[in-house]
Amino acid sequence: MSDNVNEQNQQTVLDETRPGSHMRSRPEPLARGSLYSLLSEVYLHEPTRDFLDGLKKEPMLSALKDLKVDLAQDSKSDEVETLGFEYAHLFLGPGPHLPPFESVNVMTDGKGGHGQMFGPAAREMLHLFKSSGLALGQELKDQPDHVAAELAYMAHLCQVESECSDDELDGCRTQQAEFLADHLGTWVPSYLARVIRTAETAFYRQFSAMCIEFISSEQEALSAG
Amino acid sequence: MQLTRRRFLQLGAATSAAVVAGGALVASGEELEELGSVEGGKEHSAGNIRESVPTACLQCGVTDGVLAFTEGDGDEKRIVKLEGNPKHPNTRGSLCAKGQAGLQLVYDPYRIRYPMMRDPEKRGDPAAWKRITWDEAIDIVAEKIDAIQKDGDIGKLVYHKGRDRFGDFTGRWIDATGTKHSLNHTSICEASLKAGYETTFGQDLDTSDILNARYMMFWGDNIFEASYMHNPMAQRISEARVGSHRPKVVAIDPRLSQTAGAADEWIAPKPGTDAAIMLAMVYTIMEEGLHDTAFLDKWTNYSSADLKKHLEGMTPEWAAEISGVDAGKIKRIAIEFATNQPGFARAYNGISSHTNGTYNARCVALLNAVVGNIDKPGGFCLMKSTKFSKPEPVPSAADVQEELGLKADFPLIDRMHEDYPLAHHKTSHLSMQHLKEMDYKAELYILHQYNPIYTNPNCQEQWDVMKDTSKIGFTVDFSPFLSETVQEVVDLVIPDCTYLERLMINTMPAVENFGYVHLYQPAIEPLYESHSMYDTLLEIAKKVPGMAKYFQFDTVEDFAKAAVEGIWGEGSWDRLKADGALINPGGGKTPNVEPADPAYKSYDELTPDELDDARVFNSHMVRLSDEDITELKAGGSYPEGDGTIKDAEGETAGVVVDGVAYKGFPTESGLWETFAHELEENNFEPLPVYVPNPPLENLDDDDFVLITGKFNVHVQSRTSNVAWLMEIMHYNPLWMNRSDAKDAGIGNGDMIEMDSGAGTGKMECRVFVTEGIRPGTVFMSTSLGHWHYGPPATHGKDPFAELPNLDFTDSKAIEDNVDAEWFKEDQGGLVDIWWREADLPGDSRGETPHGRPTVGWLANWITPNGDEYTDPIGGEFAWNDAVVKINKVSSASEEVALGLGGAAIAMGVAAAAVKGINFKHESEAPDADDEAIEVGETEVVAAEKTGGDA
Repeated sequence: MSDNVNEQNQQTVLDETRPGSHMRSRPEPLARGSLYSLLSEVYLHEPTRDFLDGLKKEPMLSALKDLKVDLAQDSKSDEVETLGFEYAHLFLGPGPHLPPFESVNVMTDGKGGHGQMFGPAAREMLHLFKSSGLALGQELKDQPDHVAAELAYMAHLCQVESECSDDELDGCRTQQAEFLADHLGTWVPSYLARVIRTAETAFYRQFSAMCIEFISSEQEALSAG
Repeated sequence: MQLTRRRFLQLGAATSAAVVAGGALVASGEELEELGSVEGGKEHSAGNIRESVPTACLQCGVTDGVLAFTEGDGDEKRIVKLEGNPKHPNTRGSLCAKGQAGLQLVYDPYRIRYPMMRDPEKRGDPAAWKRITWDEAIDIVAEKIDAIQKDGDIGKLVYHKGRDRFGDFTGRWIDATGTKHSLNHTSICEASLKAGYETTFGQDLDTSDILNARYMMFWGDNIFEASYMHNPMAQRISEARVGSHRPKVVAIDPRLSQTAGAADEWIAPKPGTDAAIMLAMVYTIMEEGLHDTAFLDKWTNYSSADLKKHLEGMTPEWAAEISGVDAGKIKRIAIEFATNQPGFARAYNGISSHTNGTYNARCVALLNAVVGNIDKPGGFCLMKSTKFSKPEPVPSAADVQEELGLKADFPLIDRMHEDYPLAHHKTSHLSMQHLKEMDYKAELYILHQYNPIYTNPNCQEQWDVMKDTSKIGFTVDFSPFLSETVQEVVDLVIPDCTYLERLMINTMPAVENFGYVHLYQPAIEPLYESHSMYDTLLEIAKKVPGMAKYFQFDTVEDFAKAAVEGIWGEGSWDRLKADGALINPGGGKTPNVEPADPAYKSYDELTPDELDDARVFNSHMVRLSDEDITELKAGGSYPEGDGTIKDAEGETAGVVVDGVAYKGFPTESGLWETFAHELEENNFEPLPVYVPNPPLENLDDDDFVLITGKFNVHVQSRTSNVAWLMEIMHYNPLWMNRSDAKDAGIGNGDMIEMDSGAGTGKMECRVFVTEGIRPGTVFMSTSLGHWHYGPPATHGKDPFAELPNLDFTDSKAIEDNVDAEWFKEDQGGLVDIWWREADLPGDSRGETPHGRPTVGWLANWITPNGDEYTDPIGGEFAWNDAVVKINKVSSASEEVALGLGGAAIAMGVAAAAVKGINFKHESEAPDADDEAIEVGETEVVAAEKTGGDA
C-alpha cells in the first residue's frame, strides 16, 4: 500500500472554506465538524503541550467542563509524557492494547469473523475518502478504518454540510446518518467503552465518554431530520 | 438531552482550528468517483482481478515456494490467498496449512506499527512504551554500536537470531560489527544431528531420495507434520507410495505421530535408545552378509572387518534389553532394510535431542553406510546446494576486530568456545544461564525472529536473566508481533514487516538432489511504518563508521542482485524475480559447480531427461581432472597408493580410491569417516556407539520421560497469532498410555500436575489417554500455552482482563455513565475465538454452556536446562531427556458432576485433535481448489464460485 499524501496540498479538512465555495457557512454543522475534528485529534496521536494548553483556554475549558470533560480534576491529564505512555498503552502497543480499527472490532462475515486488519470496512473507508478528494495522512498510513480517520471523515461531511446549498442539505444529512449507521456508530461506542474501562487517566476516560454521548446525540439528531 | 445537544454545539463552536492540527485526513487533490462497492466481507470477490507474486514461505525453516495472490491496487492492495509455487523445485505447487495461513500474520491486529521504546528499568510494563521516530530508532542503535566499537569490548554486542533465511546478509552485518556473539537457535533444534553427520561425512543434513527409494525409515523424524523438509518430503512419500516402487515406510518414535500413523510399521522404543537398535541392525546385516563390503572397505575409513569387531556383542537381544523393542523385530527390520535397497534411514531431532544425540546421528549414518546406499538414487543423499557470490568487500569478525583495534579476547557468552569444542552450531540455550554466572554485562542485545523467553527450556530462567538490566543493558528486537519477548524484556522494538512484505534471497538443497536458488519478494509494500529488517540493518550499518565500508550498496535488492548475478550472470535476477526459484539444470554432477549453459531454468521448464540430468548423485565419485591431478601432484601432497590428496594449503582436495583420484566426501580424509579422529582427540567415542542418557538412567517406577514435538499446523512459537491455525489446534493435553493412566487412576481429560523438580518445578495440565504412546513416556506438543502473542494465542482474553477493576469514583463523568447501555454491554474479546477446552464436536459457536477457554500448556516452564541436559559433543539441548512425576489434581467427570465444566469431553476433543480432525473449522481457509494459476499472470476468480458470497 502506498500513501496517497499529496505533499503539496496538505490541507486539513477543517479549513474554514472549501475551494470554490462562496457560501456563508452554516454554524451548526460547522460546530459539529469542529467537535469531530477535536475528537479525531484526541485519538490520532499522543497529545502535544500546545494541544493541552489549547484545551485550557476559554471558552473551550468551560464548554468541555459542561460535558464532564474536566481535565483539572486529574493532574496526570495535563502531563504530556504521562498521556503519551497512556496513548501507546491504549492504542499502539506493543503489549496488550485496544487496536482502534473498525475491521478488528466489527465482525463482518455474519459468523463472527476474526478481527483481522484491513477488512472490508477499511476498503470501504478508502473508497469514501477517494470519492471525497481525501487521503490518509502519513501518520495513519494503511489504517483507513482507524477511529481518528473515521471521526475526521465525519468532520469532513459536516464541513460539506456547512457549505452546501439548501437543495443539497437533505442529501448531506442523509449521508452523515448513513455513515454513522454503517461505520462510526457500529463500533466506536462499544470500543470506547473498553477504552474507558482500561484508561487510567481522566483524559481518555472523559473524552471517550463524551465521544460516546456525542455519537448517540448525533444519531438522534440526524434521524430526527 | 436538548441541553446536552446544545453543549456539544457550544463545544464545537469553542473548538478553535488552532487547537486541532488535523492530519488524520488530508486533501488528495483529486476526487475519484465510481469506485464501486466493497463486496461483503469475503476474502474473494466475484470478478476481481488477482495478481500473483512468486515468493517464499517462512512459517518454518523449509522455505517452500509461494504464490501470493493479491487483489486491489495501490493502497487497497491486499493479500488474499497463498498457494504453493508450481515452479519451485521442492514445493511443486503444494503448501501446508501453516504456509497457507501465513497471510493472517500480515493482518494481525497486534502488529507493531511504529518504533516503540521504553526505559530498560521498566521491562515488562505494558504501560511504559512510547512511540519514537524511525530516525531516532536507527540513531539509537547505530550510536550504541559505535560506542561499543570505540570502547573496544565488542563482546558487549550480542546478536541473537532465530529463524533467519537471509544469512548472507545478516552474517555480513554481524561480522562487520566485529562481535563473536552471534547466537542462534540451532541448539534447541537439531545441532547434534548436524554434529553427528558432519563428523561422519562432512555435511550437516541429508536430502534422501524419496522418489526412488524402496524402503524408508524415519527415526524420530516426524516428516508428515514437521521436521526439516516436511512438505517437500511428505508430498513425495505420498507420491512414491502410489508409484511403482511401493516402498515400505517405517517410523521409529515412542509416540504415534502422524508419520508413525501413516507408516507401514511403527516401532516405539524407549526414548533415547534408538542407537542400540541401529547398531543391532548393522550387526545383523553384517552377520547375514548383507553389507556392502566394497563401500565399507574402499570408501570409509574403517574396514568391514574392523567394524564387525567393533559390533561384537551388539546383538538384537542386547538392543532389545536396552530399547524395549523385540529382538526378532529388530532382526527382521534389519534384513528387510538391507534386502530392499535402495532405501535410507533418515532422522531428525527425536533422536538428536538427547545427551547422546551426536552418537545417535553417527549410528544413523552407519546404518546407511553399511548397505552402501550413500548418495545413490533412492538412498541417503548428500545435500546439493548452490552458493551465492559475496559482493566485496566481505568482512570477517577477526579482520574487523583488528582494523578497529577491538579487544579480541572478550569474555564469551556462548560456551561452545570453551566447554563444547565440537558444538559448531553453538550452545545458545545455555548462554543466558552462562551470562548469569559471568561477571559481564551485554550492553546491546539485538534479537531477530526469536522468542527466547517462551521457546527455551526453563523459560523462567531465560526471562529472569533477560529482564535483569545488570546483565543486559539494552535490548532491541526487530519484531512485527507482540511476542512474550517483546512484551517482557525488550526496550526498543523496531517493527520488521512479515516475510510476505520483504525481499530476501536464499538457497536450500532441493530434495531431488540438485542445487537451486529462490527469493522472497514483497507481495505488498510493508504496512504501516514497518520496514524490512534487512533494510533497517543496512541503514544502521551505513551510520556506523566501522561498518559502512562493507555495505556499499544502496538497497538490499542491489546486494541480492549482485549475489545472484555473480553466479548466474546478467539477467538471472530478473528471471528469478519472475519465477521465484531457479535451478541449475546442466549443473554437472557435483554440488556447488560452475554453471553450465543455459545457466538456469525453472523447475517446470525441464524435460524429464533434463531433470534426470540435473539430479546429482555419487557426488563423492566425481573424478578429478588430469589438470587438477597434475597441479596437486606438483604443489600439494598426493598419496603413493590410495589415500587423501591435499592441496598446497594443506586442505583436502580429494581422495585416491583403487588408484583413481576422486573428489571424495567433504571430510578431512575425503572418506566416509566411521572413525572420527576429531571425537577421539576430544576424548569422545570415535566410533558409532550407544551410550545411555544419564538423566534417563535409574528411573523410579513412577517416573515418566517427557518428550515434546510439533503438531502439523504449528511451528514452535510463531504461529499462535494465526487464528486459522489456532482453530485447528489449540489444545495440547499430555499424552499418556492407557495402562499408565489406569495404574495412576487418571482418566481422559483429568487435570494432573507434572513435577520435574526443575524450572518452576510444577505445572498443571490435562491428560489425553491413548494407546499411541509407549508406556512410561508422556508427550506434550510445543506451540501453545502463550501468555502473549495476541488474542488467538491467549484465547481472546481481554488484553486488560488482569488489570484491577478501575475505580471510577474520581471521575464524575464515568459515574454518570455506568448505567448506560453501552457500558453494560458485554464487550468480550476482540477476536471471536469459539473454541473451548471441552467443546463438543457439533456445538455451535458461543453455545457451549460448560466450556472454558483454553490456551494450551507450555512444558518449558518445567523443562530442566543445563549441562546435564546438553549433548557434550553437538551441544544440542536434550528436550527428550526430561523426567517428570505425575499426580492427579482433579477428575474431569467429577468436574462435570460438580458443574465446573471443562474437560468432560476432552476425550472427544483430544481424539479429534490427534487424528487431525478439524471438527469445528468454520472459517474460510484459503481456497485450495481454485483453478491452476500460471506464475506471474493474473487471475480472475470465477464468478459462479463465489457469487453467493457477495
